[in-house]
Order: sequence, then structure tokens, then C-alpha cells
Amino acid sequence: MKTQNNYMNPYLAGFLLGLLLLVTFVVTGRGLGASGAIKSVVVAGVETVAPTHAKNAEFYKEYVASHNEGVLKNWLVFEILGVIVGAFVSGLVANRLTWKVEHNPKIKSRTRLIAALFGGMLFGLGAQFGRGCTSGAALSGMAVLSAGGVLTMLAIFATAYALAYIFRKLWI
Amino acid sequence: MGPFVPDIISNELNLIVALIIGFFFGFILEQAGFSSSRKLAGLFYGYDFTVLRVLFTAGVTAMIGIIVLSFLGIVDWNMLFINPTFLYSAIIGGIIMGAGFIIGGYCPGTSFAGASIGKIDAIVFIVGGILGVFVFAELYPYFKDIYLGFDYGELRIDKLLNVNPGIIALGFTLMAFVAFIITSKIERKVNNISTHSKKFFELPENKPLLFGFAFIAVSLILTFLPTREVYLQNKIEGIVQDKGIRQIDPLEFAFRVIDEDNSLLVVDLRDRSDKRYKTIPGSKQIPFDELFYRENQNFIKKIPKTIVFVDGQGILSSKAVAFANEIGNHRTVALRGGLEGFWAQFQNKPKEINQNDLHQVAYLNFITSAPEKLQMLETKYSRSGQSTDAKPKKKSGGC
Repeated sequence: MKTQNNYMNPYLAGFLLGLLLLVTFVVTGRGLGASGAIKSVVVAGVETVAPTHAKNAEFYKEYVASHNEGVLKNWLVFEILGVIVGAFVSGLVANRLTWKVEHNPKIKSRTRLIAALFGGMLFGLGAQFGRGCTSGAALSGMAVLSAGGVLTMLAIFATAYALAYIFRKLWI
Repeated sequence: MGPFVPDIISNELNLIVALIIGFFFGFILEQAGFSSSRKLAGLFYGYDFTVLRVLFTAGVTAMIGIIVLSFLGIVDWNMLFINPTFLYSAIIGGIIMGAGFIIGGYCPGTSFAGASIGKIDAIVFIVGGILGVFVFAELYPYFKDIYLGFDYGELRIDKLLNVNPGIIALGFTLMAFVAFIITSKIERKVNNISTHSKKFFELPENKPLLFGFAFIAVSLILTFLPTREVYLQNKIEGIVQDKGIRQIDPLEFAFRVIDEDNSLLVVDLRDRSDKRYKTIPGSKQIPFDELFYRENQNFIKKIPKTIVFVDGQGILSSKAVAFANEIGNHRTVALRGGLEGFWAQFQNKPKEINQNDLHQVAYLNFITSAPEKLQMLETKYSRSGQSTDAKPKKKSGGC
């Protein structure tokens, strides 16, 4: 069941991902996520580097207060550790492990890296407002018919399409 | 009944579960090609719609699964984490993420998949994500109003539109199906592949179509499925009409409450806002709609006492008894005439009684002194904080 470029058939991959999401909900009561792990890392980092600041600034205070077992001992952090291992194994069996900056040949890899950094920043920021990213808000939200999740998903894709023309040089 | 955390699976073990689930999540993302930003961005330029196919298929699969398992009572939808809706925050967040997606080429989950196989741009994206969260954290006081404003709670689309969840699932399935067909055509055109080429599908083209029809058929059937609550309520309605419900007489009940009979537990089914009638001293409040919550079901099943369900007029309490029977507790009773009848019995004193009839004298004495005794009990319980309010704890979640 592989397509020409060695990737899994997208419908099969989607079906398996859907089953995984379903199992996740049945077993843990929650969906899949990703940006939450980044949040834990940020809070843990600030706690280590600037402990007084972490104690005083509202955001960290609230986060630490709601995670009494330690900010890194968190479901999403462990899930993301699993993601990293799982993706690595997949890359290994599919022979896709290689260090590279993947980019459109028409742009320099430096441009791609700056865009990736900036895009990542926006995603990290937006995921806070959206209370989750494409996994936590859009996909998991859709599965349990969350209005907010689906709204966020529509906003993500509508904006990306609206801006596609402006940033076309990055990709085509 | 799921979810298994925290009752069956401990929070410690849950972290191991997280690792395992994460492993498969990462494996599937990478296998689908989500480790490549150029493949992901293809969605927005028409040369590769993999993201749409995977995301939509996954969403619809999980959605249909949750509807079916919830109806069968295997998982309790009310206990699942449902992304709360903070209207403008959700839209603004989506817009910022959309910009991040088209510029950065990844989303957080896929960037981890990309980084794992050595994509340096994915690693840089993650670093960007960390900076983005940091910016939000530092400026949080300024964002707080919008972030916490326009809170619609755990808004579900099916409840918002007041339809069976299956209808929403059918809508999404049809949308996905149409989108798959249209985007496959666009994809071939953009990539200059002739319609007859099978390059983009190893599977013969009619097979995905077949799967699509199967999905539509399933969700079509689901549109007739009400939510589990509605299903149980309808079923209970039938039981209430078919057979009599065990009831307790208001006078006997008043006597046993004043006697502080410990074998009884009074469950008040009214909404929390309903203050029309005084509550029974020491009663536990579980609004009727929340009886279906797993925690309350367990409570009803396991309590060694006789539950007396009370409500305003005795309608909900009969249903509650039928519901308790349905889940295996046959010892519950409903207060006949509800709280209205209960409090009224102390008002309708007989005008003339035969002083020689000891029964009548005792009765009059009892109903005359009862309101005061109940008041004393109420004071006693409220001081010791015994009047309890059951609100189920939910698993927190989110991304």
C-alpha cells in the first residue's frame, strides 16, 4: 500500500490516525496534541533560567499552579517524546533519515530557515490563542464535534489559503 | 466505560500510554509524508492534497467512532475533553496559525515528525514555536481579556444546531468525499498528469471511492442515532409509562427525614438555579441531566442506601427511578407529589379532629411541628456542610 514516493496511501494513513485518535479518547479521555508540549518546555525553561520571573508573571504562575506534579511530567510531553521516536523509526524503515534543509530549489536554504523560524513563532503564538494547534484543536476538536476546534481549523486553512499567493515564492 | 483514566489507568501509567500513543502518532505522521514541509504546503498550491486526505479521513473516522462508542455506552462523551470555545480567541488563534503554516510549512506535530528524520528546517520551526509561546507568555496580561473572553464553554456543534451528532458526521463525511474528488482532479491538473494515470494512487481509483461510499453509508445510518442521553431518556419514558414506579408517601418520607433515618439518601434532581421549593435537609443535588454522567451512574449503582429522588412535581423523580432500575439499582424510590406536595402537606391541616382518635391527634401534632424540625435539621446540616453538590471531575486536556 505505498504510493510512488514510498509514502503510505493517504486514506489508509488517515484511517489509522483516526483509529489512533479514537483509542486515545477512549483510553485517556483526551485527544492528541503537540503545541502543549512546547508550552511545557517554555514554562520549564523559564522556571530554570529565571525562577523569580516565573513566580511573578501571571502566565507561568497559572501554569505551574495547574501542573502540581511538575511541568515536564505532562501527558503531552511524553506523547511528543513518543512522536519523535515513532517518526524516527518510520524514517528508518522508509530510508528517509538524512540531515537536510528541505526547500524549494528557487530559494536559498537561509531564506527557508528564516521563514521556518518566523512561521514557527506565529504557530506557537497562535496555538495559545486557539488553545491547541492542528492536532489538539483542529483534529481532536473535530472528532468530538467541538465548535471552537472546528472554528480554529477553518480559520487556519482559510488564512493559509488567503496568504498562499503572497508567499508563493517560498514554495513554488 | 471509558475513558479509563484516571479510574482504571493511573496517572503514572498514563504517561507510558502517552509514549505509546505518541509513537504511533509520529509513525503515522511520518509514513503519510507529514515530515516534509513541501508536501504539506502542497495543500495550498494544489500540487499535493495529502494533508487534506489524511486530516479529513482521520477526523471523520474518529468522529464516527466516538458517536458509535458513546451510543453503546462504551465511552462517556461527557467525560471527554472537548476544546472549550472562546469565540474570538479561537478565530484569532486560527488566523495566526494559518499565517504560520503558510510561512513555516509545518504545524507543531508535523515539525516534530520532520525534526526526527533530520529536517533542519523543522528543528528551526520548533525553535520558532518555543519563541512564539514565550512571546505569548510574556505578553499574557495584554492578551488575557481576549484569551478568556467570549467563553461559550464546551460547545458541541450537534448541541448548538440541536441535531443528532450523526447528522454532523454525515455532513463532514460528504464534505470530505466531495473534497477528495475535486482536489484529486485539481492535483492531476496542477501536476500535468493525465486523468487516466494511476501515478497518484497505487490503489485502483475506484477503491478509495468504495471506501468513501462505505463511510457515507455508515454516517447515514448514524444520523438516526440520538445521543446516549436522549436514547436513555426515551427508553426511561417508556418504562415510566409501562410500569408503576416505586414511590414513597410524603408523610412517611417527612417522618423518616425528621427521624434522621440513615438508610435513606435524598437526591434532589432540580436544576441548581431552581429555588421554587425548599430543599430537603441533607439532600444531595444531582440535576437530572447529570445523572447520566459516569461518576453519578457509579454513585447510584454503588450507594448502599435507599435513594429517594425528589424534584418539583415528581415527574423527573419517576424517570430517575426508572433510570436507576435500568442501570441495576432497584432500591430507589420517588417522592410522590414531589417537593410541592411535600411542603403542602404541612399547610393543609385538618380543621376539626376527633380528640379521642389518637391517630388523628398524633398526625396533627406531627404536621404542625414538622416544618420547625425540618428547619432545625437544615441549619444543622448546612453548618456541618453535609448538603453536598455533585459535580463530576473531568480530565483536562488540550494542546
